Amino acid sequence: MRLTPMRTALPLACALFLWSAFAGCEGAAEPSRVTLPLRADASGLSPAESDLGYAVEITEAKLSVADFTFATPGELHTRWLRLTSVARAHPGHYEGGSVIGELRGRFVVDFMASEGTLGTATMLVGTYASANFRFETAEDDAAPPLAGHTALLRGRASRDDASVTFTFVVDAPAMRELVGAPFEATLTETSGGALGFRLLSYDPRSDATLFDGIDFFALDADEAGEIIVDPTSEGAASEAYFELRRRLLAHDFYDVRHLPEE
Amino acid sequence: MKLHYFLSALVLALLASACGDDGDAEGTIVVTAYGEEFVEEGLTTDDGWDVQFDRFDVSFGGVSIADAIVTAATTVDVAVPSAGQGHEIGRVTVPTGTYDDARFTITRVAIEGRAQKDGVEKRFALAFDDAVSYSLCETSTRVRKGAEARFEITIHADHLFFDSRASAEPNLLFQALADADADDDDVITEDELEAAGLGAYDPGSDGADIDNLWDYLERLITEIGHADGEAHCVATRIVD
Repeated sequence: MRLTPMRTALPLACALFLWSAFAGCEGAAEPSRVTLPLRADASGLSPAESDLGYAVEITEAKLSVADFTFATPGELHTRWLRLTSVARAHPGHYEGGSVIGELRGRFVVDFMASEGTLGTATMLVGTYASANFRFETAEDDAAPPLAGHTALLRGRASRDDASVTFTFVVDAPAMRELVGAPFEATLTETSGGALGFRLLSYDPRSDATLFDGIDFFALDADEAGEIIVDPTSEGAASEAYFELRRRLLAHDFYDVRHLPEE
Repeated sequence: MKLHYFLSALVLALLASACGDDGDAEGTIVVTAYGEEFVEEGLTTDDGWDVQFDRFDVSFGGVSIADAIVTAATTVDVAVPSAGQGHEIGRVTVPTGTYDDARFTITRVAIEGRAQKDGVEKRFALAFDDAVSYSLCETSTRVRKGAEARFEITIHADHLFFDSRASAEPNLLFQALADADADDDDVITEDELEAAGLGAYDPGSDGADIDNLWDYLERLITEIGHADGEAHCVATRIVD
């Protein structure tokens, strides 16, 4: 029996449809989503004692960042829907997994401000393990001295009944991403509340503080009781700058928490 | 009408078989280790140092592909010129098909070389003993009947001179390593690197605990293994 083109095409199309349906079954149903506000959370910035014995109190902490993404545990490589992409990273405790949540845009995060949200994150229902974002340079219209830089930290360091105030202004390398900040949460369609983004003055996992290795008094060469360290600093101040920058660029000193509705 | 069902089933069967093997047919996978021209011929860093490797020994603790063990353990000096072919470290005969299950472990890297700039020569002889398992490489190896396929373990030696573990386009630098030669005897040692701060180097999101050049190099060395050129693998440090 000779087949007409139509008679040949029909079963072929059916077969291809069935095959593609089975092959692509992991993306066959769109997962449920939930939207949650992401806000700065100051609870990680409590006073901490550094390895050099300074009691460090942060009074101002601002950070210019962009494009938060939130990922599942493990080294998954499943490509989901439009929202998702595969996170690929160097090995680390919280790295890897598939991105199933996001909040795009540029933000200046004022950690000490108790009000306001950065935006509304769109999250697929599921279990999360990590958060990622990109460091940015604050626009010129940001309040100085943050304008044109990535981070501003102000505070007071005290030891042996003496103290200095400090200002650190830090630049991140261009397009520098932070990968693998802890974000351990399971979100359902009914999850409410908010996501809290924290900068941590103390990392309990490594028992290290943000200002470890920085000898504040040694930086106060003129004994004026005030030190200012920025990307143009030289000598010991430059070493302190890079010491702090290394930690500010590390996932140990950030996390994201799900804050259920009160 | 029955013919339509038969054709549908036939097409499905053909499509399914395209992803599998070809009956009892077999082919060979040749596994090589290649250090690229960076190792075999040397490289010039972005800050103007000409680096030559006299030795770049990579010790493998085990290499497998297609569910077959290629070699249990071997050491390859990838600094030896190979005309771009790499050094064969083993071969296995396997059923025809496409394989993406290659795994290998690098247990030790020992390097020896020198860098020159403006009449100054700095020598180094360093060994790194952190074992790293590489798996889930983003490549596949197609084995055809009676033919030889290749799986290349590519060693990216230039990564040793990256100034950042986080940047997509890091600089290739040697000056910081040269400056680590504190006693100025033109030999850069492990102790000197351990005493040298990182300066502007960026050790990455997981690099908060890396605060000297030796620790930085130790971390970089765990990321030099790749597959078939540029394909990434999941690298897992093996902790004793």
